[in-house]
Amino acid sequence: MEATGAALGIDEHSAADSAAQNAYSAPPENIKHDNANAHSTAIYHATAESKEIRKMAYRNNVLSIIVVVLIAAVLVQAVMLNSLSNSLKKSNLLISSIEATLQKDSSLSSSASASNTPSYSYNINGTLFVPPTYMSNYPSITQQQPFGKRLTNINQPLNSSELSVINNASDAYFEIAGNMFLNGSLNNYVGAPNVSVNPFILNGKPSVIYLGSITCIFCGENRWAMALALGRFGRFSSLYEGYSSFGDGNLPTLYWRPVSYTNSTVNIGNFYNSSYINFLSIEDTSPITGGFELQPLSVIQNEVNATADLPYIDAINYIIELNQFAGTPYTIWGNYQVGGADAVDFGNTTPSSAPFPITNMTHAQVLAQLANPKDQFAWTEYAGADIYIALTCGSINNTAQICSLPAIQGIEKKIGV
Amino acid sequence: MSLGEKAKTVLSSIRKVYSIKYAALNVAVAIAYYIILVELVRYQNYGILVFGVPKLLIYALVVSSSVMFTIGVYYTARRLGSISRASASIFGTMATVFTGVVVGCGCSAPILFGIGSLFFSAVELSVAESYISGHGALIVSVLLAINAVLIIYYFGRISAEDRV
Repeated sequence: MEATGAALGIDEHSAADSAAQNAYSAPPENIKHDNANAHSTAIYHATAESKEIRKMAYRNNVLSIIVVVLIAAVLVQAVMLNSLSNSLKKSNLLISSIEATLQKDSSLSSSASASNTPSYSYNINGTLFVPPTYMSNYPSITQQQPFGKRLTNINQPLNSSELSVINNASDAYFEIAGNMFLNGSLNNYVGAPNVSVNPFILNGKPSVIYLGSITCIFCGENRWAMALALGRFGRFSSLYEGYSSFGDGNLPTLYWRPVSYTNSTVNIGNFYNSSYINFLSIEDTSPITGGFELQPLSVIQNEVNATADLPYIDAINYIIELNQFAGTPYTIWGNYQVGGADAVDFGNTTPSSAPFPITNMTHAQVLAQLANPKDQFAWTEYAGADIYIALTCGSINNTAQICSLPAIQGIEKKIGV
Repeated sequence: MSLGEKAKTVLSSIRKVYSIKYAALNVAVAIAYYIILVELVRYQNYGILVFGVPKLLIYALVVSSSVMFTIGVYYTARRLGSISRASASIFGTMATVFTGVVVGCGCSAPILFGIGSLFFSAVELSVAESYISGHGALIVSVLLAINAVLIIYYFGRISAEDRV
């Protein structure tokens, strides 16, 4: 065709352009009857070409519109979520202030004040599932393995001195970290946006409910702060060494119980006891040597139902009814639901990408820092715990000793509890 | 046309398209796409860059999408009278944005749950999160394969149009 075009003394661009201009104007029948006319043949082929290009154009325009609509939807959604989040915070603050005023006037009982919160309500009695202390199919690995691909001591219980770091952490540490959070002197992000919910009452006590995944990097980080916070309201008789998955930071962390670290299932239960609260933990498991994985909520619910433990069955029902789940970790602290982690604390300063400093730490090193906090990493864990403590204090009318700390009261005010 | 001939045609189109100007454009777009993808991942992970799929796949997708964009611009520049030409860039951009959402969908998935909550329940969205987190590499590989096929197709078209 190039030769034809050249013979006719027109360049390829002008041939195509003139063909495009003449699109649909040269019916194939005419050309069949005029085989000698090379010019018409060139125009015919160029016209067919042009038709195809036009079809492509329409298809691509449709795709363009879809992309634009999607981008617009993302932007609108972001704005909506932002304003929704702000209005929720404002309404939480408003409800809190109204409740505080009413309580001062002693004109509203605590049961009546609960009517301001959403309709899903659980007030049940039952025995919490007690998990096994050892799982023969998922033994502890004693071999020393390299950081980043490390499972050393996975599923091994903390010894008494290690457990004591969690159970007997000094209130002073929580106070210092709380003040650092309040005066903005922490390097790492700390914050747990919360939404008011009805408390899950079990055996007369409000509950802390946790839904997480052993493979998840943020769950791994979060459990340290959770354990420190829960230790202020009760005691763990056992905690276990664990890790997030190889593909998700391979952080050293705590497990609430021995877990099925090589297959996908759900492990419920823990070894926690408190006179103030219940702690219900639901841990989704997947092969720890892979990346982050999470089974659908419906599958998790089926597996929890299979345990036939009423409190846990109701707890997963409650999570599903709230319809606020948006990934792990997902926690409920009495009257407050927290979607996501409490902090981004993977070292004294958290780099924006792997490897993270905490990946290269052993459990003993993390516990040593928590036992004697001197740097940003440890203070951030305590600050994250402070937020959970404030949420819990707000749910038990500040009856626990830790609730009297000025920093905790300051955080309660700051986060609208 | 045999496979060898087709390869030759595509290679000659690549040589035709990739003048210094277009090569520079390609590099600039690749960088821009990578930044978009990284920011989408960071947005979903509290500012942390955690890729749920091998980095090689990410790089390959960014490069292929930037090639698609370059082809789109080349078409547009050569054929100002036509309404089509930005074509190739559209799928490339979509693939990059979608990959950013998929790759960043880990422990938390604010974009998926944020937009999805308008239409679906948390239980239904958790199915999507579960699938994406378990099959992120497969999804990105499929997008990459589509990019590759489209690149070959468009280079073939450039060659065909040149013959006209």
